[in-house]
Amino acid sequence: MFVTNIQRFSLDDGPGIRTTLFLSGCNMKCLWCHNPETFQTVMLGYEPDQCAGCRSCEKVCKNGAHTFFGASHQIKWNQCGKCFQCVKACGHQALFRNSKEMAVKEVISEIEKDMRFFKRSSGGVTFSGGEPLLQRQELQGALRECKKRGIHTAVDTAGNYPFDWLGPLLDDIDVVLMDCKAYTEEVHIKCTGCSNQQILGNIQWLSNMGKNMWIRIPVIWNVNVTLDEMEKIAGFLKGKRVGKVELLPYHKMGVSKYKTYGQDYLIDEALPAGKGEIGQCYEVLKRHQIPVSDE
Amino acid sequence: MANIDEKENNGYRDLRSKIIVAAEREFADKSIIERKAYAEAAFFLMNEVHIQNHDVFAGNLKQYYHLGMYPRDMGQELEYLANTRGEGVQEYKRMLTAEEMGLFTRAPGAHVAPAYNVLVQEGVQGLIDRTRSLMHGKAGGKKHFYAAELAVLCAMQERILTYAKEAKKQYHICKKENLKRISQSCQRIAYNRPGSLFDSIQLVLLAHEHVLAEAGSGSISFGRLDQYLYPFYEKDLNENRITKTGAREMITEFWRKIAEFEMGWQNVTLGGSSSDGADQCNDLTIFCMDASLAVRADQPQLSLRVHKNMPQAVWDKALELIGAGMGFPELYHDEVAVKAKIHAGIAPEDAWDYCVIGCVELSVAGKEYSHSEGARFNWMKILELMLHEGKCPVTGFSWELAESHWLEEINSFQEFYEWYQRELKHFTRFVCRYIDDLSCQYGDYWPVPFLSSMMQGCVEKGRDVTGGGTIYHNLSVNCVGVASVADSLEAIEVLVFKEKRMSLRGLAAILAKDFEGFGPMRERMLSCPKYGNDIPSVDSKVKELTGLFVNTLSEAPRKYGKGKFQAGFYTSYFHATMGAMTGASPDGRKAGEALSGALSPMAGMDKSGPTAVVNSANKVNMEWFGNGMALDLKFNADFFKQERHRKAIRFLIEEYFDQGGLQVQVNAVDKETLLKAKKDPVKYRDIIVRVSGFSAYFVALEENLQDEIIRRTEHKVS
Repeated sequence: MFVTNIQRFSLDDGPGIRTTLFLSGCNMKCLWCHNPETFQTVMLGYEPDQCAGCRSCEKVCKNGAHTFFGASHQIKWNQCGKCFQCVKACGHQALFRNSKEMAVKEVISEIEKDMRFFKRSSGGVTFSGGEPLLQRQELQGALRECKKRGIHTAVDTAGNYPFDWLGPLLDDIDVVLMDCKAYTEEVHIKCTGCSNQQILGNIQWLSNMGKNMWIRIPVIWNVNVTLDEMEKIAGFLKGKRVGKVELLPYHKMGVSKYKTYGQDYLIDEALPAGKGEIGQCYEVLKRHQIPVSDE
Repeated sequence: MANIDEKENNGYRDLRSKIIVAAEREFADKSIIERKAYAEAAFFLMNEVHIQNHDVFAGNLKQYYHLGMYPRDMGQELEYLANTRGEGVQEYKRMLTAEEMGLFTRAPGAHVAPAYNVLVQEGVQGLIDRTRSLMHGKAGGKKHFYAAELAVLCAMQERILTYAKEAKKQYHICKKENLKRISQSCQRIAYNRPGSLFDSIQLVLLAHEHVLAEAGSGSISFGRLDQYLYPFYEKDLNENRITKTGAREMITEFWRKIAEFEMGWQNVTLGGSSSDGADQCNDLTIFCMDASLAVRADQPQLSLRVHKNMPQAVWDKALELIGAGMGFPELYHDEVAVKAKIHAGIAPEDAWDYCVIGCVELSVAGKEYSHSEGARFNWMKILELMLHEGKCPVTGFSWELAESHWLEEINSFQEFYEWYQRELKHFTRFVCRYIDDLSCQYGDYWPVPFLSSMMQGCVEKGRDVTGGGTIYHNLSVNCVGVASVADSLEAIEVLVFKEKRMSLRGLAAILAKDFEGFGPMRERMLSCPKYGNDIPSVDSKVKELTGLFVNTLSEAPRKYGKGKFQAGFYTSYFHATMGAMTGASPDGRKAGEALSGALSPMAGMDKSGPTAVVNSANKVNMEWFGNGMALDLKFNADFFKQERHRKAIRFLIEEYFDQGGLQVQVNAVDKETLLKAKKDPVKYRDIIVRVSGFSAYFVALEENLQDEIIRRTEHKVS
């Protein structure tokens, strides 16, 4: 299982005190994504401030991905063969991998550390990403081990896959945190690079099955959400079995990480959704009698 | 916050020393305790009273701001000891060197919660009558003691009357009702027991003023204020003399008075349970926290005693106050704190009545005087001396360790670790012997007659507080740099002995150079396991070393006095000052940087979140820490805005307490800190902020987002 980060005392990815694991690899590319380190399963990362210009990486790289102009270290990202020899050679922690490969057993022992806090707060574990379903085999193993230990489980997913990816895991998931980024297909394609037909279908499916599901809608005003679009989303969700809907206001948390992983950030100019707009969106949802989070 | 007016304060200091010098000369033929008492009494009588026409209570604490303590310093203390004891004190001279090299420090005296609970029951006249009756038939030294007690108590009575007169005089000029009330109240409490909430607060405040004046320092605490004031409040309420709002305002005005004494470490203990688990919180518990929210000053510092049956409303108010960003109330777990006091020799019924004094020290109000700052030493300095053959690399002073070893001769980590343990034990024993010897002379040279009148046991025994008059009189030893040492030992184990990246000698050389030219090696040291991340190998070192230290204290004999030695794991600001005197350390810390504080992880090294910190801390047995301890958690103030986050903090704390946690202080970080964090991210790596919909470490955020959060915090403040 490839994990970029394990966040303990996570309070916003499901009920109670949780441990959230971010699994790497994603099959969408949302304009606003704040986890660029999860774009691919394994990636090279580089922190220029840490670089001492010792050129150890240049010596070990077989692909010529590291070049130096004087003290200035340039990375040719597309030449990186992901052998990570440079990471081993770097003594300054300027180069690193985005993710760590962990056995299910290791993952579980990390999760178990906060067992007592889960119990006290009715919390548990959340598998997020990236798209955690891309590692569904390992994910299933981990979920099953958690359930064996009585740990509450949540999976935070974008839902862009055939239902039979998720189906076999459902018995071991207590709550599905499902994204719904747009209802209008063109808007969805424009923002994420792919159609939302499978996603909407999966939401319908989960609702039919009566699975405990929270819907999470990122709000990047005038990018994926307008009042009109929110009406459509609400119309779609109306009557479905949804535990609650959470609106996630836009933030620029991830921008610096784009450079770290040699990626381009595409909507630098987007402004955070203000309180007023988020409030309006909640009003729309409430009007359609959709349960919303207390936020 | 108002700044201390240095000039004004110097004026008081001059006046005080003039009066005291004159009085001591005048009464040169009297015993030392009488001389001290007459001087104190003269000061009470001659120092003008100040009442401003908006004052709700009489009393003026500001003027006593750190007037200066006796003895002046360790040097003077040793001088006097040499005078009394002559031989046998020569070996202690080296403690002056220890202080200079940042290995040891001490500031004995003060740090006490007087028996204000008894005072409000008996009144000044009650104390005077009791002293008089006990004095009857006494002769010699005891007689002198009683004469001294009577002098200070009568002087206090006189001063209360002076306040009454002054308030009356001013009332006649401006006709303000508050002044009339002060005047009438002072007139009553000079001779009678207080009969109302107002009168009891007024009496406590004036007594506090006198204790502060005599002590010349801070850390005089109020004990379990909500408990001893409650009967007065209840009576007023039943007799319709007060409303709840009125009582809350009264406490708020009291708080404003206490706040005049800035940086005073004046602790107020709230809440708690009795030994059968019954909740003792009351309306005043909440009003006191409300008052802090209204006054928003650094004083008084609140400590809340938490137990299983603490009402929801008290929890809610406490979290609201914590979220306001002042860092209190500090939270204490009754069960563990009581066990810690019992371990320090306090009788169970008194232990259940514990309060908090100064920073985080556990004490029994009116019954215990334990020199809570009697010794503090730097665990890292010992390790540093071991690595540098007993020579302090910062000051160049030499220090004789218990054992000397060639670093080349040490073949395993276990050998080194055991050597450290022996040195720790050896120095701890030496410190115990040293402070025990010093304690014997306090009653002879530096008695505090007024404080003695405010403590139980002194008048009964006819002995001053400093001469062992109180019911309990332990000696306290505190530790600095515990996590730093555990982290350093861990790094030595990993890098020197497991991975064999360098020899011990090589490590010492790198440290002597403050990592200059060894950047990557420092990175490796920094990335070794650190305490506070729930990693067994390093957490166990903290557990073992704290255990070893406490056992050494328990076994140490006391020559003078019957008390025990009690352990404290809080550092006040000494982890910074002693850190400044300590060279680079194997945990990757640079020379001069602060050491780890209290029992907290090294700042910025707890990277796995607060549950991991709590898991690490819970491995330590805190039931032995009779002088208290602190565990710091920091959150952004915004974090407290949402109810489910406040709930999560409560779950976190309850779980920590259930598994043996003694104390925790939760910091809601303010804008100023965040600005500093932005400039110096390495030091503030552990601040958690709420971004929007998720939580993250502040310094992991991008600059513009940091700016945004800083702005948000600003909005909140304005």
